[in-house]
Amino acid sequence: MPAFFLSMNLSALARSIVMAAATALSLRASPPVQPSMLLLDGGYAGADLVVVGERGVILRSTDQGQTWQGAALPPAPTLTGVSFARGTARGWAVGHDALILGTTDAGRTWHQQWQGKNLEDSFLDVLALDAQHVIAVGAYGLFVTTADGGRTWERRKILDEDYHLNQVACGPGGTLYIAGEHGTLLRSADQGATWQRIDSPYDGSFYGILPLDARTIVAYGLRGRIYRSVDDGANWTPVANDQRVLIATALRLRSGTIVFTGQSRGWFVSRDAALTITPWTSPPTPAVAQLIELPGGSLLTLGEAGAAILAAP
Amino acid sequence: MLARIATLIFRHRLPLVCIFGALTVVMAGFASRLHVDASFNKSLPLDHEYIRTFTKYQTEFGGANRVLVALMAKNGNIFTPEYFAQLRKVTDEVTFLPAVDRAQVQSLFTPNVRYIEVIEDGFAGGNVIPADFTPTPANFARVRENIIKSGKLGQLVANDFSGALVSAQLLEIDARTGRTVDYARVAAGLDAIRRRVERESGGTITVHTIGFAKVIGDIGDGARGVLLLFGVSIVITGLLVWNYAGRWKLAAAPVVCSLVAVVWQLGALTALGYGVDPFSILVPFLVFAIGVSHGVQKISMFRNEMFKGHDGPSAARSAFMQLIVPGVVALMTDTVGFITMFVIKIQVIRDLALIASLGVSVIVLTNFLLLPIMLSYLHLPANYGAWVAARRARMDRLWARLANGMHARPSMIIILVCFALGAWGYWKAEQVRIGDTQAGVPELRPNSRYNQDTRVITSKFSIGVDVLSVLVETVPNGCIDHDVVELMDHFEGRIRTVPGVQSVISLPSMAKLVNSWYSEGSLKWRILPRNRQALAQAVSPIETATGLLNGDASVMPILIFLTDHKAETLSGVTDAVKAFAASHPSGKARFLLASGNAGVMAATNEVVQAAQRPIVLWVFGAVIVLCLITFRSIRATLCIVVPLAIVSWLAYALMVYLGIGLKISTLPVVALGVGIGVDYGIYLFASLQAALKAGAFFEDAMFQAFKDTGAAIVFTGLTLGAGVSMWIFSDLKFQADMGLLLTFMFLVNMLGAIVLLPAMARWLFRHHTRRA
Repeated sequence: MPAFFLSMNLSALARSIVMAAATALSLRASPPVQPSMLLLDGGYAGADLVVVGERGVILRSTDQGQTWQGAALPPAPTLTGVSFARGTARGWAVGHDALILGTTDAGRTWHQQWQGKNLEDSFLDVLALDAQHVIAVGAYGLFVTTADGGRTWERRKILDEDYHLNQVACGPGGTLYIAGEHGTLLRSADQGATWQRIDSPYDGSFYGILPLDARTIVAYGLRGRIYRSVDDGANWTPVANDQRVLIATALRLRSGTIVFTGQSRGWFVSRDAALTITPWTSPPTPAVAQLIELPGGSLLTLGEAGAAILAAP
Repeated sequence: MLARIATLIFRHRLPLVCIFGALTVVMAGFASRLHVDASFNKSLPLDHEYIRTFTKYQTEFGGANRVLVALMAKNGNIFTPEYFAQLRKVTDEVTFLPAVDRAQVQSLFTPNVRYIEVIEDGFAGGNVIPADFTPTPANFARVRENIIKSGKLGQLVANDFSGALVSAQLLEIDARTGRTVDYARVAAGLDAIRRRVERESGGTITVHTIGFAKVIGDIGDGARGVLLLFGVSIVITGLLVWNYAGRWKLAAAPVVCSLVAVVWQLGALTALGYGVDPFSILVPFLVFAIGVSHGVQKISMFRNEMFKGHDGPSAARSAFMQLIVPGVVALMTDTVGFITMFVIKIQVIRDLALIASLGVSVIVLTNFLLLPIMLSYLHLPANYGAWVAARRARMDRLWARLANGMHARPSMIIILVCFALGAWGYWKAEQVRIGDTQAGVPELRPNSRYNQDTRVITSKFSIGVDVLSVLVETVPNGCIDHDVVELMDHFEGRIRTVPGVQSVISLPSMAKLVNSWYSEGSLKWRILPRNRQALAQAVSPIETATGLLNGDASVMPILIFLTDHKAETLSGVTDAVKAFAASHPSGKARFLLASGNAGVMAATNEVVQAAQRPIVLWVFGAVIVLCLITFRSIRATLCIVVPLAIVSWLAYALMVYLGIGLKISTLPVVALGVGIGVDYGIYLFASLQAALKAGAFFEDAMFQAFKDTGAAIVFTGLTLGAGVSMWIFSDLKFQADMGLLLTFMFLVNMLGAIVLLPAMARWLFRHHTRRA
């Protein structure tokens, strides 16, 4: 601003008054956050979306992913999973540094509930069965549960080997599944108290299991591998796919269409309950970690490029 | 005393002319060896803390001197045999350019570009274009997949597969010749590649080249192009003088003298070991214009003496005697403008000030020695006096109208209109931007080939050209210290949220990527492992050639790519960096600003912003003091300074409208415009004051002042304007900006002196008006 005179500048004064007013107003609502950081998981807390990701970020959206606000939480490492008990405001987020956070106000504020002694331990997924029962899984066989809504957590070993447990899922009949490293597939029929191995059709890593009904399940993972079983895992049929890309997540839409994705540009859809898949040439997206179907039918993608909304296939 | 000197000069005029001639030949010899030095190190504010960091690590990380040659397929598809053949050929040609680090050349055809695939038990990989590649549809499809897997989409291949590029690093010292790299030769080599490809492909492939070497080449070309404009400006000025003098011999005298001054100035520069940079190359225009405008006054005086019946030598002697004191004083006021530029601690501006001062000192010699001597040889024909008188009569009628028009009401209207303009300019001037707003390289024009190429590359590839890098000074092997990399990662997370930040590349973010590849490419493993071995494993593939760490990993730059280099964007980022550093004190890591082109711009902007007010205060202070000393009157000083201030504000308003920012090149404009523009007012007012003191009424005194100096003022304004207006046609954007603004300052200051000054004087000296 060139100024030869040191006289009072009225326009600057007016501007500063406006600025002060704007600052006062902005204190009332938390400012919107651009959801452009790496996001790894998300879910619904009632009608609101909550997503977690890189460098301990937790964002909330009350308008179905149009705008996002930051949640209040202590400094945290990268968070990898989040899950809310259906019909409650209670939720849990897990991440690296063996950390579990909890919320009782639908994700507005978060507090540390548990942290392992060895910070090199990493959680990779969490599943809230109800407001009391939560299962968190992670690297090197990490398995931690609570039965009292997070007041106390119990760590135990459910696997002889130190394989990564990548995902925990719940089927329509209440059966629980865990997918993990080296073809690890586990099943529990008693809310996670005991776990049985499922014979694996593949010795590479599985990144998830998608239960379609009480008997039909789909497992997916490394190098484009998708396997389908109609007898709860007793026998598996490979689903033909010649694209060798990591499949990190799968989602069945309300229309019945199943969407698989993961690595950059790797999108596949199935319209016949995963008997066959076809590549979906969607708008090119960077790598995706999680998909959420929005009420309007479009997809919320969480991943390398943050949160983005995509028209469903 | 003065008379004795004058007598001495004119007695020995022949030997003196010979000495001048000989010296000019010598100086011309020096001047012919003048080199255009386009290196921009001199334009850095070396005192600034960012630049101290920059220079400290320049040798270690300055090696990020990259050249990108993009081949774009006209039909939007690179998968054709012709395209691949050209890409392979260009890869080879770039590899063998001078100073290119051959191992670092990257394109789809170089073996260092590989794709990696995660398989069940580790990694598998290969060259993106296999060794046995033949151009079949199946092979093209395979290459397409490999490109995606390699992660080079957006880096080496356009995001829509419409082009690909060859990337090369230049070494500061050419290993093969042992000499520092000659950017001009690299640039010429790149141009040759462009011409060959576009010729051989029949225009189906276009070539776009960017990189520092190319910038330097183009700026050098642009600066040399200015020399051509210099010729044009000599012709225009010559025509102006000829129009004024009416006789070509008389007109030639000041033009030749001023050219001699330019030759001497350039010769002296070379002799003193200076080169000409794109800034100081403009000084000859100024020196020439100042020389001619002062020379013309000598002509005017000389012919007046001739009309009084003197012969050539005594008329020249008389003109010399009368003009030496006011002339030298006027030239000294010009120098005041130059000297104020020393306020700015940037070498190019100080050089500009020094070189311009040198030029003005040379003018003293040529105009007050050579010119009178040359004039003394002239004989004017008998009818010349009548021609001049007729012209003068025409002019005088105009001046009489102007002087008599300065009644109470019209002069008040002039004052009100000018003050309103000034107030508007003052209000507008608040909006002048600091720094550059234009995309691409600001030194070059927005539609220059280089900036067009930049637009093509930044729009088709994921490549940013505005980089600000923060240097993290840490402990040796800081790259495997979890606290350090974690803090750097947090810094990156914070900076990514700053508006205008497009992307950030740092060692931690690369290490996170590598770590996820060790974990089958899962996004959930994009972390910095706490385990020291795992961290070392994630960091080890990152070589120093990436520019993300030095040899012992004690310094790690964080590259922040920006969407643009607007001043607000830059200050937003530098503020965020400072705030982070202040709120995260660490014994192990210090976050230092700054390197990268945007870092240098940020430093320059801060220096320009800080210097902006002082330079204006200094030049106006100097002018005010000068006026007070000369006229011993506050009212006189007001008459002279107020028009200058109004014009300066209008110049800023003009900058706002033309989107010209305040930067190194435009900062001195006001100082130059005011320092030189004050001459008009001084000449006119001196004459007015003399007439008033002699007891004349204001109206008569004003008429007398116009008659004495009006023509010379108009002429000076026109010659100065003609000299600098040629810069507008320069290929270099900042020269064009300077030319436009200086032309405005010189011409409008002239108008201010002959319109506003009399109007203000009418009121400030109203006790001298006839009615009073």
